[in-house]
Amino acid sequence: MANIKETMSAFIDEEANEIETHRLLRSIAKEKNDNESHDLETRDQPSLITSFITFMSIRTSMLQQSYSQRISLAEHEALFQRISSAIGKEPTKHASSVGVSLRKPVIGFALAASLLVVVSFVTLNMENTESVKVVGEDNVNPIESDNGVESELRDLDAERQRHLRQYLNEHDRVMRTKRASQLVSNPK
Amino acid sequence: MRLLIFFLLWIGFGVCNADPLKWLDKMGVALREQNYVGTFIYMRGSLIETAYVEHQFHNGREFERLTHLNGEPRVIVRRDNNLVCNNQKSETNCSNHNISLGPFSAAFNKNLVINHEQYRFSMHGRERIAGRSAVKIKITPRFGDRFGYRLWLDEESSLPLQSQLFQRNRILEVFQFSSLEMGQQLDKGNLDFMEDDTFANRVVVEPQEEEVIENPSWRVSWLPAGFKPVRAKQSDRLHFTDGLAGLSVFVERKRSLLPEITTYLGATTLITRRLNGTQGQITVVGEIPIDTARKIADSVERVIY
Repeated sequence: MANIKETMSAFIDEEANEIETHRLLRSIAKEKNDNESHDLETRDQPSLITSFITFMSIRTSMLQQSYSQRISLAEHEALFQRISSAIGKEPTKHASSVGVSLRKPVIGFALAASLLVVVSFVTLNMENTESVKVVGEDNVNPIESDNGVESELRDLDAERQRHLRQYLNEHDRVMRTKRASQLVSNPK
Repeated sequence: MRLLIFFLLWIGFGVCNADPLKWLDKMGVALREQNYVGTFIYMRGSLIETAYVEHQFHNGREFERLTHLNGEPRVIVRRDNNLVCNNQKSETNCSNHNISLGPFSAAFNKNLVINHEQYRFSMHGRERIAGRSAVKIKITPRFGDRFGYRLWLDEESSLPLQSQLFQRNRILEVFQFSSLEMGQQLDKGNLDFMEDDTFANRVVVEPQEEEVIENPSWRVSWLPAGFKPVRAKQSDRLHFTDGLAGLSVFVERKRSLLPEITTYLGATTLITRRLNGTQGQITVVGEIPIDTARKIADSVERVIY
């Protein structure tokens, strides 16, 4: 849970990578489904969804925004509920497969969450002009480490890890053999 | 009148210099015809390789020696299309020693030309790389179904000094010369480096012939434009490449061991998905974005003969 909250914080700061974003959205969608199946209200207990809203509020406060003028906590919640109900209405195929059934809500939520973040950032930056950085079109993050894979694979047992490594190695072998021709295919 | 001619020439030169495709053309020629020696660094995820490269173009023939400076000592030498790997441990082929040279190989330019409709090309001013002035070119995928490249080409010679493979604002792979000397003639002795006997093992690499896929059990109904099948020794594996990136599809019909996973290792994405209506599984591995891998996995179909 602590880990996913770190990811959430990174996501809100636009620092989460693609894998972390997928993982976060998958967790939120799963929590939402669990809550619905157990008929729980999201605000009855601390949850990722309430944490998300809280993080957004904290960020808003940190940037010294008067969110009452922009988007209030209640409005955040109302917006989230509207997004959730819209996601809930989306038809899902292969309901027997959890991963597949979650895909559509995750995509829907990803879009909605991105929209929420974009709206918030645009709103924040419009007023707090001093904090606006001139970001060149070509600004990039440093090269990615393998943490994405390592953390994802760490949860697997040894046999499953070996199984995946086999696939990675076979792909690498086939493509390197193909690429070997890159060293010899220079004639004009 | 002279002033007008000078002005027109200057404008023409400026337009020519601002055309990224012309720069890429010059890069292809430079990679083949320039004489240079230098050290470059390759980074991909947590992998960092360093290699010393010597390249000579002499009497219409090309000579190159790539000496790996990290890990097991090994040298790849090339005379035109003949490739030899020298290493200390017995190997059946060169593949384990081959850094994919990406934009630092002339094949990159050739494959980029073939796939040029999939990218937008733009110039981004000048920067200093390895102590030299470089022009920066950005090669952005038009449809987000593949990765893009940033290239820094030596302003004087058009040789690539640095390249980055990227997706949006994430850098996946980097090549960079840390030192480069241009125009030096190698010693005559160095031109005989194909006959380097200082290593215990010497493997001559034959150019790869593309294999024909015979009766595959599976097919993909969607691929990013330009990707073609390259090899399939087993019917439950499919491999594709557009010359710049590769992707593999593995199908398991029996009950799968693996949960659904979406992850990456450097520039290599790996996703697993349930095979529709069965307990089997599809795994897609490739130098492609996650969304592209997912779309490919969703398009895997059984072939019924």
